[in-house]
Amino acid sequence: METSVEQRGDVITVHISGSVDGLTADNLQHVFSSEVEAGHHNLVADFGGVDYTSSAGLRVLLGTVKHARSRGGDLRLAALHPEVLKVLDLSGFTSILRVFDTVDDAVESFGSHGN
Amino acid sequence: MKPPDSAPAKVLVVDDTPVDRDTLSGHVQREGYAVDTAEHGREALEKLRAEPFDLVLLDVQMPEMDGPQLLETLRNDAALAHIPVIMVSAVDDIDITVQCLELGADDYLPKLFRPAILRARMSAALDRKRLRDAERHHTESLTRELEVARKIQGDFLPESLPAVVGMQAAAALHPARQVSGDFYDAFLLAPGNTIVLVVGDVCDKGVGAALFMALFRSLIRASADPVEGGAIQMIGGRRTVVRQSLEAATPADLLTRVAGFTNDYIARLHGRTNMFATVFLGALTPGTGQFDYVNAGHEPAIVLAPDGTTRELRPTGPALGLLPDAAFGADEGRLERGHSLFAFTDGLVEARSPDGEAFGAERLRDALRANNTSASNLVQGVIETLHAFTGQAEPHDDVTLLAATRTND
Repeated sequence: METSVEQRGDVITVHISGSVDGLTADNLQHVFSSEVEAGHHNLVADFGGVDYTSSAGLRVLLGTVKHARSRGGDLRLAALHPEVLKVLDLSGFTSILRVFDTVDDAVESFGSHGN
Repeated sequence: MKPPDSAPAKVLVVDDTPVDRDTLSGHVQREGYAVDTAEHGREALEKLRAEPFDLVLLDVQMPEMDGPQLLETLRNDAALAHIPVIMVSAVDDIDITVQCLELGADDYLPKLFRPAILRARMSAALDRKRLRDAERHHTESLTRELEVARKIQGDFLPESLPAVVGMQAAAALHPARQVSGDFYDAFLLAPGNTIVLVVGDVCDKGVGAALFMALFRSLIRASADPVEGGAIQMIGGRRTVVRQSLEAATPADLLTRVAGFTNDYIARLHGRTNMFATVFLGALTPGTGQFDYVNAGHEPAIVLAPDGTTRELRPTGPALGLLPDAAFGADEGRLERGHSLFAFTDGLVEARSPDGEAFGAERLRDALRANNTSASNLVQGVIETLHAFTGQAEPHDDVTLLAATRTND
């Protein structure tokens, strides 16, 4: 799994590619925590390159959304593959996290005041 | 296997020529090691089997059992295979020396050696053995610990499923590793004509999931106040008041409260771990066939009719433990006589064949239809079909199944 970080205004987008599972989840968690700790709490996770996520990946999303919201921000998801969206839907993650079709939509949802 | 200690390493020198044997033993002793000798392969084997040795210095050319033969015997013996062997060979023995190395000898030493070379080769072989021994000792300890955990975890599953008139139930849980993050439960609610069925899947795998398995299962059972015991019964004088309020609740009410209580407990007290579980909770009254369920983010359970038609019982709320104060809905149905309720974890449908194909929902439905004669046949049949499908492939996730059939009474 690989990640790259992009900043647009006060929104950080983490582009993820590969599988998010027990082996790679820690790495992803670290990327997100570093951003929040650095003061960037408006986060978008770009799942366009993710073909599979296990419950270890879901834990990272849960931890990150709580962390970001505790700092007044949020974590929003973009470009989910149907299989991944299905997993998030079934487990109720889509009821706690906002999901968007494209990264642009997700970034724009934070508005000009990061809301 | 002896634990690591600091006694001098014990070396066995095997050589049929007395002069060579004595010379080599002398050198080995001068390096500070304990030495014993053997004249030929057979004697060497006897000594190796009688006491622990850390290293063998073996002459390549010997009558009777020669170097390669002894080596093969050693490598095929589980008790002796880990002992390093250094071949001692003359200059023109290079072919046989190579043969020995390919048979598993660790290194070789020329017959005309410099003490410094002997020292270096022995010390390298002994260091490697020490490391391997320590690693093996450590792995054995960990395996023992996990075995203890596995036994204790077994205690968190029902010893037997409750017997209720008008219903037959069966269950199976196959962990992917020694400990499991899946669980199932079944217990009666007062006054004893409704059975609660639970199938749960804690996120992740391994020891962490197993620890939370115990917690989730306990919170669910305790907050449901089952007939044979639960936390509420232990709250002395308040028991009557609390029991009255629980008895007044409908099964659907009870299940949503159990889900809410468990969810809030985990989300509030264990929020830092970000652990959660997907859980199917069903309450079935076999007398009438009425059932209610709360599906908290879990793989849909299946209602199976004798003619093979199926109905899915889909999620009515999120997984337990995500965020406090989550709302859980409930849904219901009626289980006719001869119909079955089948709940399971995603490890079943996601199990892979050696070719990497997933078992899948369709194969599951086919297996259910093919074994639709009783709850135990459903469970057994699906497990057999699954094992035939996965063959020797390593299980990727825990697999849990629970079936309840309303019998034709």
